[in-house]
Formats: sequence, C-alpha cells, structure tokens
Amino acid sequence: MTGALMLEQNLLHHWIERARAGDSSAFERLMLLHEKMVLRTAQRLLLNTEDAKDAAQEVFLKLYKNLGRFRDDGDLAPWLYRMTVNVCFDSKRKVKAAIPIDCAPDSHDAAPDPEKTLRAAEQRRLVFSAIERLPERERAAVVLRDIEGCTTAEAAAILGSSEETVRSQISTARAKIRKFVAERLSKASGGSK
Amino acid sequence: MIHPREEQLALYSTGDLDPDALERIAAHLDECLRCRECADQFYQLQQVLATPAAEPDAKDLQNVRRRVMENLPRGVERRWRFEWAIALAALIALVIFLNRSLHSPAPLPVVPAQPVAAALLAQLPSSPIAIKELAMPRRASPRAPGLGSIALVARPDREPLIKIATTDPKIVILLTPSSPNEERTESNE
Repeated sequence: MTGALMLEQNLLHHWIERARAGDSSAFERLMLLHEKMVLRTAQRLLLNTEDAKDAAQEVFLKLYKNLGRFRDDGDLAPWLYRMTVNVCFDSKRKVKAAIPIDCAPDSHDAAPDPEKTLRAAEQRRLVFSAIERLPERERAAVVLRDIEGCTTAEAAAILGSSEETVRSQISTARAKIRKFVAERLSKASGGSK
Repeated sequence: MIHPREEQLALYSTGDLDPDALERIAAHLDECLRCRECADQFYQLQQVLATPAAEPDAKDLQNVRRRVMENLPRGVERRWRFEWAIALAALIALVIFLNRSLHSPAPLPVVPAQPVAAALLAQLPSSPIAIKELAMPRRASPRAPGLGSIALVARPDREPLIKIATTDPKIVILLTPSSPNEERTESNE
C-alpha cells in the first residue's frame, strides 16, 4: 500500500467518523471524493444527465443515512457503486424518456485527424446507443467491467451476483453491442455507396 | 473446424477465460479469418469502451452537492441538540437546588420555655389579668417540637397559670408565676 493511499484511507476513516457524528462538512468531503465516480456511473447507466443527477443525489442521501454501517473504509466505494446501480435501475423503471448524454470521449484524447475523429465519434455513438438497448443487468455489468474498469469479481460483488453470472452477462452484452454496431456501420457504408 | 462461440470471443478480448480456452481460441484465430475479424471487432469495442469518457461537468457536480447538502436529514444533529438540552436542563436544576439549599432560612432556634415564660411574667400587670394568647412563630422543622402559643390563664383566687403550647399538640407546658422553676408538662394523651 502506498503512502498516499494510506493517507487517503486514514482521511477517509476520519471523515466517515466525523460525518457519522453529525459533522456535515466532513460528509461534504466524502462527497467530493466520490461524486465523480457516482455521477459518471449514473450517467453511463441512465444515459441522461438530469436523471443521473437525481440518482446521484439519492445515492448520497442514502449514504448519509447509512453511515453507521461502514466498519471498514474499503466498503465505501463498492457500496456506492452498488447503490448507484440500484438507484439507477429504480429510476429507469420510473422514467422512460431520456435525453442522451454527451458520450464524446475526453477532449484530451481526441485524435487530430478530423476524419478519424468523426469515425471514432460515430462508432462511440453507436456503442452507447447499443448499451442503451441492453437489459439493465447486462448494461450494469458492461458499465462496471468495461467502462468503470472493475474486475469481474468486483462487478459481481457490486451487483450481488456470482462471477459466472456476470461473465455471462458481459459476454452476451458485448456480442449484442458488436452486432448492433456492425449492422449500423454496414448499413451506413451500403447507403453511401 | 469447430468455431468458438461469439460470447467466447467476447471474453477472449479481455482475457476472461481459463488458460486452456485462451490457448485453444488463439490457435483457432491463427487459422480462421472469420473468427479473427470477429475478435478484432471485440478489440475495437473494448478500445471504445475503455476510452476515458468526459468526466461529469463541474457545474453538474456542484449542483448535486448543493442539493444533497440542502436535503441532508438533520437527525444526527437533532439528536445531539436534544441530548445537550437534557444536560443543560439537568445542570440548571442542580444549580437551583444548590442555591436554595445554601440560602434557605435557618430553622428557628428552640427557645427555652422557662426564660420566655419568666420574661412574660415580668411584664404582667398585677390584676385583673385578661386571658391573652400570644402568637408565636412556628418552627420550620417538624422533628423537634417548638413553641406554638403562650396563654395566660386567669384563675379566680389563685395565681394565673401560664400555658405554653408547643408545635406538638401532645405537649403543653403549664407554669405558675410564683414558682417558675416548677414546671409541669402535661400530655394530652
């Protein structure tokens, strides 16, 4: 464990304790540490920024109510992922209309070639369009494993499933996405000829 | 030639298979163009998914944070305030109790019956003597009997009698002026 990580965990432990005792500024610091992760995951799951903001708000309010349950600081991030997934699933059941989020990659990684950039952007749009069509469990598995970078075991723990189930969901989801993108690109290239 | 299933190729792109399956599929891809193209598409898909997406907008993050802080349940703080209120009330009650204990009027001293009676007798007119009842303050403490009232009882052809009632109704003291040292204590029982 690196010194920075140890320091971060000590601070995390300190802030959890203080937030548990009713210190709202300590809770705000906990939020600052995890808000990007929560909102980003919610955006990937809901594909809608406004719904994602509502979901993130609900996740952090649930965190405040459940601060007493964290005995180990390492429980916090997986718990937040799990809660984000659950809240987003509930949110999706309530609201069907969606305003697509900006799925563009980080501007720092944009390719300089305009044609290449356009092609990559189109491919990315198609990929996220395919993700939007996935059943919620498969979408959650792909978001956690392939976008958030969790291991299969971590994704399984977050989703409360076995590794085997999550592996199956991921492989099925990837196959669906590949097929969707390939078909759309094939149609587009056929139409342009 | 047996082709691997598409789901297996999907997992092959990230190495999510056991070593034997990975080795078997790698050998197959060397020989099968169709499966290799499919595996390449999964690689490309992984590249798209792994490309860091733009982080959430700072304004959106700030907005979420503000909404959360405004809607925080105040249960914990309320509980602390309630406990502090109880402690403060207990402290105030303790201070009031101690203050009253320290500044409460001291119980009246027990006045010996004989000097009081003698002083009263010295002021008595010679005759005629009216019956008087002198109100005396009662003792605060109920434990020891204190002075209740003093009355001069006129008796025809006889010396008047001083009747001293105590706070205990069972005890009455009778004195005669000529023999102040002779005391008689009567009991009402």
